Amino acid sequence: MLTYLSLHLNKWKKRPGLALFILLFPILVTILSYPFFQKAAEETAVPVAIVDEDESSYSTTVVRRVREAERLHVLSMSSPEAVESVQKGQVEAAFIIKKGFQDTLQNGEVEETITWVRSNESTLDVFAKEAIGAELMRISLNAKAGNTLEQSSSVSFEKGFQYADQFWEPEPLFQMDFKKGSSEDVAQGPVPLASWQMVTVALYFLYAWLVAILFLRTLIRDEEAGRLQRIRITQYTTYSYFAGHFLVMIVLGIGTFLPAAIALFFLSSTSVPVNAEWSGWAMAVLVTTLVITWFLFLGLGRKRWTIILFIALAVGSFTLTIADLGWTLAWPHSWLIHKP
Amino acid sequence: MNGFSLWRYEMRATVRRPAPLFLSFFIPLAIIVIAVLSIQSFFQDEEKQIQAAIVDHDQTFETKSLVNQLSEEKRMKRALQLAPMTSKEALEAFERGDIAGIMTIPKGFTKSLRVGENEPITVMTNQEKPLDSTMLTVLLESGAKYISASQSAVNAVYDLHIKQLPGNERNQKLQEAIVTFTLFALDRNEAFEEDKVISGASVGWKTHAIIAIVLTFIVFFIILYQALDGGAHSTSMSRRWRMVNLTFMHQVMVKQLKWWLILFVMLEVGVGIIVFMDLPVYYSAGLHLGLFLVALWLSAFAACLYGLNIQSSVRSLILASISIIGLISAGAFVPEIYLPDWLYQKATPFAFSYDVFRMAFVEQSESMPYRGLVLWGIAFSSLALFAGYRKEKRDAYVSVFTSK
Repeated sequence: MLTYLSLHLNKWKKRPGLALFILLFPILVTILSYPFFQKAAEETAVPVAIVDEDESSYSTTVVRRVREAERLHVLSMSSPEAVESVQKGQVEAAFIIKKGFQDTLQNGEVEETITWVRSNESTLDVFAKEAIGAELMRISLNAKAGNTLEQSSSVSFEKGFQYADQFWEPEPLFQMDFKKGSSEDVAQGPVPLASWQMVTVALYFLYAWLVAILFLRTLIRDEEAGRLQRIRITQYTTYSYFAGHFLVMIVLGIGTFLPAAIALFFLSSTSVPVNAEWSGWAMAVLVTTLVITWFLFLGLGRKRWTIILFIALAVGSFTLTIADLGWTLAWPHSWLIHKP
Repeated sequence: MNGFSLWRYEMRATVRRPAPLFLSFFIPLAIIVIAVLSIQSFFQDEEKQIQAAIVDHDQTFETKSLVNQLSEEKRMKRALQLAPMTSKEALEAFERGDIAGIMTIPKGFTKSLRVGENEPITVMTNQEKPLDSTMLTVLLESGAKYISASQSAVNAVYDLHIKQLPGNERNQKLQEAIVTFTLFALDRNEAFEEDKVISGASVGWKTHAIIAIVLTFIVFFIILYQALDGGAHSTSMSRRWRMVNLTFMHQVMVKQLKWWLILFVMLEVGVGIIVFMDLPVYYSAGLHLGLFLVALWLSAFAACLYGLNIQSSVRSLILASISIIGLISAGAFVPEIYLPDWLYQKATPFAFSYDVFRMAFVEQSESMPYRGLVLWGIAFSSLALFAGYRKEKRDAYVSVFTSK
């Protein structure tokens, strides 16, 4: 049985570059592209223009704080430039802080202090509006508290304003702690894998499966070239031939899948027990899938068209599971994702 | 003349054995249709109100007004429905997948808010409803900021003024302050005066999605097609071709010409389908020329790897990796304006291809992608021919210069 494994190893050794490339492709892609995707995901932001026509201390504070907001790429420009940028689609929207902004806020008013220039295509600018609105409200409510205190007690406006503002440091008063969960783990504790990790693992699984399917072509070629016939004549049995090739297929599948999956978990700093748990589960699913593929291949008579059929099944399994369109139980990818 | 024979041989093979063409067309198409269906169902779900539960263990005036602030505000109300529940009911609804999240207010929350401590409210979002959860997070985060603002003002007025008042008046003034500041915080939308302008250059999300689909399809297509169609000729076949002075370099050239033609037809069909779907496409000579050039560089890129004599599966992997990064950096998936500067690359052939498609949808397109596409096309084609020539030279048969 092991003869066939060493036979294939020798075959791969003849073209080590090719064999290594196929085997290490997922892990190479993971290691090379992870920092790229991570940085790209972190720095992707909604571009908005801010025009400060008031140039007062309130307006500069709002602009400064909005600049610090995540997921916003704030560009300062003049009013005509900002409108032109919106028209050209270079920014999602423009916010013009009108002249007299500080005076209006100090009087305890907010009405129409900011012009929000958007186009028919603007969608994500509402996030920017919320961020600006929040900063505006922070200042205007501080001012309102200052006003109320000045009118009803001996406390000055400035003192009231500062007193209200200190509640924002180091953290605002009202905070929310967001936790992710799923219906399954309400009872069982949190799910450890993020959806992007799941998709990536599913892709590795697809790759390993495809590599194993393409390996099956060796058996078809052996049959066509008459090698299988020779083995049958000389050894009286083809048992070790098939068992050997089955072993090679499993080794190939695991060899392409496991290192990449472990590398992914490692790079995305998933804890060791979670890593081991998921890698173990994924490997069990992969081996089951390969066993089924193997017996289907033998059962369907080792024909060329079965390779195409298996490829279509593998791609279908991945696509339908990720798209979540139903029939989930039938697909190996969904067994992978729905770990008990 | 001999070259024409090779071309005829290639084309006849394509017609007689249409499986590669057929599979390369339908496999990506099926994947894309499934992806679109899935994304559509995602967005259709999204039009409903987001359902979330609120579990209030504190049950004070403040927490009730807080729930009101979050759920009764007009814009919030349109997007979000916060239903008060007991913790058991909420967990059951979460398990059934009926709600996108549970917000839990702990006991003693009001007290801690009054003294300026910040005990956070826990919100558990449902991972199985990613879009709903993200929306819920965004809505609640912005709500939290407004509540912080009004509570800071209430605290300031309470500490500096109301605290010193006699008991009866104190309570009344406090309630007044809470109501005044809370209502004021709810009026935030009045601060914005909305001004809509017509955007002439940006394509909008729908069109962007269509361009992304067509571009991805065409790249998928060529990756599959070159893999299925790009097997090298057998040695005996190559030798026979050499006898009539047709070398590997000619094979590369003819393969590229064939792929170019097929890609061009595919692109035209793609744009045709868009027109068929009743979307406004500005047909122009410039658009056809653009599609022709997109087909040129893509076919040249594939032919270049073919000329380098790389095995077809490896070729596909290389093409797929480069294409994914290329499409991302061209703003084909996430529009360019959201991408960080280092990521968006204007001069790649992928970005030029995106510009060609943009031309189909935008009347006043400023970009002129032709020169870039021609340059990339010529560069890849030359590289493909050079690689083919090198291989032939290595095999000691340089018919290009020796034959007439």
